[in-house]
Amino acid sequence: MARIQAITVPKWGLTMTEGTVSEWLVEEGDTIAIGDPIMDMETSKIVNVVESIVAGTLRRKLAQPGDTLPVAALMGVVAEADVADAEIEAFIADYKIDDKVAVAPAGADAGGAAPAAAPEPAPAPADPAPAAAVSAATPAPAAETAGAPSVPEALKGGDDDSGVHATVHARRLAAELGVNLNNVNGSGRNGRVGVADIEQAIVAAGGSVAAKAPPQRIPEVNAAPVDDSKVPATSVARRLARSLGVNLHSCRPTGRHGKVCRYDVEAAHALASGASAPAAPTPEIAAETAPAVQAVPMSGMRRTIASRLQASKQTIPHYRVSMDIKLDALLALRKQINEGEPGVNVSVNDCVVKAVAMALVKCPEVNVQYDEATRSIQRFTDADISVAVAIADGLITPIVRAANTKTLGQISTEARDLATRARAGTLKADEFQGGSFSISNLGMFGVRQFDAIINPPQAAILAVAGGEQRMVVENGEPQVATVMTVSLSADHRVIDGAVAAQFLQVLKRFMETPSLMLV
Amino acid sequence: MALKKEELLEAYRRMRTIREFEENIHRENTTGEIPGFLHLYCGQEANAVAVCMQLDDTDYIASNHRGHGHCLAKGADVKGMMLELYGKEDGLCHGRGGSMHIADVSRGILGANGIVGAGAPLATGAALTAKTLGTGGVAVSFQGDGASNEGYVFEAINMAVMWQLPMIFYFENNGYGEFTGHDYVVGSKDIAGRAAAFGLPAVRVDGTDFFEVYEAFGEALKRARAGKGPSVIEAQAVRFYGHFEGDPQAYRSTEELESVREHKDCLKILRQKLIKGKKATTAELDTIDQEAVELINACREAAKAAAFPDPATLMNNTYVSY
Amino acid sequence: MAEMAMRAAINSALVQEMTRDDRVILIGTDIAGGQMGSGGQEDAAGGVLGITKGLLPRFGAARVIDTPIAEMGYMGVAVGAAATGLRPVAELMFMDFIGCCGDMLLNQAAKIRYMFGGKSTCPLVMRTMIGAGANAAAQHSQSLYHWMTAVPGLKVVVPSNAYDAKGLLATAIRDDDPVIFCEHKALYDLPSAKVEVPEDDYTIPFGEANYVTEGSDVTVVALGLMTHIAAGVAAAMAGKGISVEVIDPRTTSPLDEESILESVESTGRLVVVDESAARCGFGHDVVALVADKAFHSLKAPVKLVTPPHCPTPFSPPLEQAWIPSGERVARAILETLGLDRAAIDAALAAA
Repeated sequence: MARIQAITVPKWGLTMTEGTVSEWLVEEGDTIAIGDPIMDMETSKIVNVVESIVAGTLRRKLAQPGDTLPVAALMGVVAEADVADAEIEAFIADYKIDDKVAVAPAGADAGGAAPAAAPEPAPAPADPAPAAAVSAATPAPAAETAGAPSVPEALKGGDDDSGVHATVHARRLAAELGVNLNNVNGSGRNGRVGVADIEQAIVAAGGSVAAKAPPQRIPEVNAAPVDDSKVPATSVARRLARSLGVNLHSCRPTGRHGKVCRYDVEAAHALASGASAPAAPTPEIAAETAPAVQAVPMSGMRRTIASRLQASKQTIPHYRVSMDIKLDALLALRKQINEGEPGVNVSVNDCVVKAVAMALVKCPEVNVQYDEATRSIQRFTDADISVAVAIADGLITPIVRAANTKTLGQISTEARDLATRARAGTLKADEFQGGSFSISNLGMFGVRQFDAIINPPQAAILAVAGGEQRMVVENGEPQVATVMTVSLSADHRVIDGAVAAQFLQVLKRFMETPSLMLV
Repeated sequence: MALKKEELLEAYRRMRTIREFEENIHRENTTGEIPGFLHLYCGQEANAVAVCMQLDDTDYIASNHRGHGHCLAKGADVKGMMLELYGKEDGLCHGRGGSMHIADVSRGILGANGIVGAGAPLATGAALTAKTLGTGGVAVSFQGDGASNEGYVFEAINMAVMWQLPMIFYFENNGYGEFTGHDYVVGSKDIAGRAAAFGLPAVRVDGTDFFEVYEAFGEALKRARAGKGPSVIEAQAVRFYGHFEGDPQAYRSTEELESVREHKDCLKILRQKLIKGKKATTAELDTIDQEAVELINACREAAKAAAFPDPATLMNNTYVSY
Repeated sequence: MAEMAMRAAINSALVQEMTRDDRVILIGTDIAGGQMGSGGQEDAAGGVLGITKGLLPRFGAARVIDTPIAEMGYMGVAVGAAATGLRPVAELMFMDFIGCCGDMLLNQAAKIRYMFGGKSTCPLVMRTMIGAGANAAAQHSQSLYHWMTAVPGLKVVVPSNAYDAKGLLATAIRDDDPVIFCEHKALYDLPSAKVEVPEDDYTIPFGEANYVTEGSDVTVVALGLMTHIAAGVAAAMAGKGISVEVIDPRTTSPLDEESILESVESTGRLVVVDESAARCGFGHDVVALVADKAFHSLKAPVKLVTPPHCPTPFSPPLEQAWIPSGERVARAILETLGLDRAAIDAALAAA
């Protein structure tokens, strides 16, 4: 008997993965025997008594009532009275839930060892013409398949082959080609000769057969001529690899059970084409490779954002329309205003709010919402613009009400006030609930273009990227202009593509010729 | 019945080995290392042992889901069984069967069974073979009170009577069919009485008393070997643990659970009788106890260390030929 | 060599095998049918359709065993006996009753060898009757061989004529695995299933298809009674210059994939005629095989002719509409040849 023994979370039944401590039935210092009830524990199915499978003095109660712990987690320590506290502390510090919980052999395999190291990348062929290499490896070169099959004489002679066990088609083919079936080994059930056996025999004897080349639907562009069909990979990754011409041997597997996953293929492709690496692997994948992942509980706001935007993306038929807008005239106007009127500091975003509001009045079909209950379209008179404001751990959308009726100065003052109070968390409910249209501006981060998810129950959101100097062609001449790309995400149930495009046209017109907003 | 001392010690050893095997599994199962469902035989050991020690390898038994005890009593290899429970390649069924399908055909064991009552017709088939081929063997099916309500069990009894087969249907009535009390689901509350209506000797015995079982089964066996047809035995047995491991047994009172271990433990009863009747000394029995513990510990460690089957052999034995 | 109906061919296979091997026994409800009745004739019935007639007097009650109507029980007995040294041929009167003994086939016979680590065999044959066409209605007409085909551990035979039935039944009895032998009740006396059958002992290996007709334009795969319908259509088509190859796989497990694939690779067109099921049936298995392994050989979409997804009706006109008909087979063949509906209507009207 070991001097120190663990009391761990038991596994009851096939599906138990964790248990919650209800209460201890013994105290530290108590002597317990095998089979003694020591704790009430609750699982997703039952409350049951944990019986001790060890005997001795209970020295430590580590699990507290209410703790939810995985099967095999350490809950307490039993040891003889003469074991020093330091030894017990060391035992606790060293205790690990090892892989012994894995029940199925498959699980045991997977849990036992670290994911297998990536296979050595296949050496690049000296001749970078993979297509040639591939066809050279096949027994029947393409050039010969067009011609008649050539049957070596060795296969032709022999005794009467009518008694040879062969399929109907094999016999037919043999007669056609003059092959004596006595010269062919049958690989079928009961040693039967099939068509494939005859073809194989011909090739093996140095002849050739007409290849049944299936249509080559996926050109293997850059694939190294090494068969990667045995490399463990997800089906998505395998498909992507084929379409990108990436050999799976070139991918570093980071997925579950050492599988190559989509991210690995993208990374290999990016590496090969000299592009920057793709976005980091999803947290799920990261969790597999990086043991230091922390589980961060979601705040209420985070959960609301998660559920609302997930619902939006899943239930609203989104589509997006983008347009480039030249800002030079608008920036000049802004400069004029800010320099001419003390106390006023109009931002580009204020101008976007104003222009969007004006455009919504011009295009009332975009200033709408879809009412699921009545299956009707709610059309708004005024443009109540929700402006997304990033705050700690989330975002909120305070509303500039009836922005179409307000001056740039009023919009600027109101927007700044709302944003300040949003960050302070002092907005009143009616200041961020409602709104007929949303704007999300990531221009300050140097974003060139992005798409936004509709903020339900609204039907459209404008994603505003940063203005940047770009070469544009004007009347056949290249010139430099400050250009910003906006992207409208719209709900196709109530806003059609042409309507969305017209709205962007009107918006572009207001922003490129801002004086029109005065008319 | 004049059992020799070594026979009595051997009976005690088999019962003690089964008990240790099952108690060990009961403890080890909570670590999650044993796959699948487990149904423990603790409390019923006298039945399997008193029956099987009178059989030999030409006789067949068919067991049920609570089958470890029957197999061990019939001579299945202890280590092979333990390995099988752990799903290892060197287990009795190469890890293909596990607890609920454990079998050792070479010892006349037609397997534990995941289908309630299925053993009765299967064993009747073995009895038909024995009679047709004239092997001199008999067949025994072990089933519980729950299976006594399955139609095909009684279909099998009827056929065994019709054809006067060398067959013994052994019902272990442990009072609970899964979670439901026997008295609730058995309309007549009397399995032996109901079976007797098929026209064969049917008796009820105390399944906690090794000697009573031994004697009653011996009578039935004598009839079967003499070509005098089948018998039914209903044994009043007790189940220490739940229907399966993980069953909290909320349907049984603490008093009952304590009482059966205190007053109806067949192993304890046999031990007391052996000592009282001066058939064995405490020291002799303690030695057997210790040897059983060591045997099971060794088997457990071997099972833990043994290799799982190679997935490449997954398809093996689906057919003889294909 | 004399012509023999399938009924007689099966009976002769049983006689042949019981004579050859004392371990072969027959077990089933009313396979003799009359023991201890007031008529005093032990072999009164010989099975509901008389297939086993005459076997009781010939081999005795120890080997021709009548059972109570207790399918689960006697099938389990047969499985247990098979696992311990006998070679039972158990009869399940109608395959529709498979639910009454299903466990013994599904969880016992099919798996004991595998579960016991290869240390046991189960040389059981279950003979059973399948098929619609006798107005036997919903509970006595099903062709559930696809259920059994889906179970690893079982072999499944669906003979289509007297010669095949005798040879395949002999193979089944000598096979060490459990075999489900499905006899279409309409074939017992069907003239086109009555063919020359050798008196001598012979066997037909499992997993080898029979080419009922050879052809180059369309492959038709059919089993049991359906092979006769397909062959009739093929003969009619030949007169119009359309060459149809009819393949009878004879066993659904193992399945002669090679013969089916080789044929489809040569014709490029496939029609499957199957009585088992409108969903998840044997036909779907063949179609999936071809889609998987010979897709690029196909010149036209595959056609599948099955009963509709409803129970077999009682009323004769309804039942005739339920059973895959020659007209539906012909239509499917013409569709794979690219004819549109009007052209098909015209072609069939002219026929």
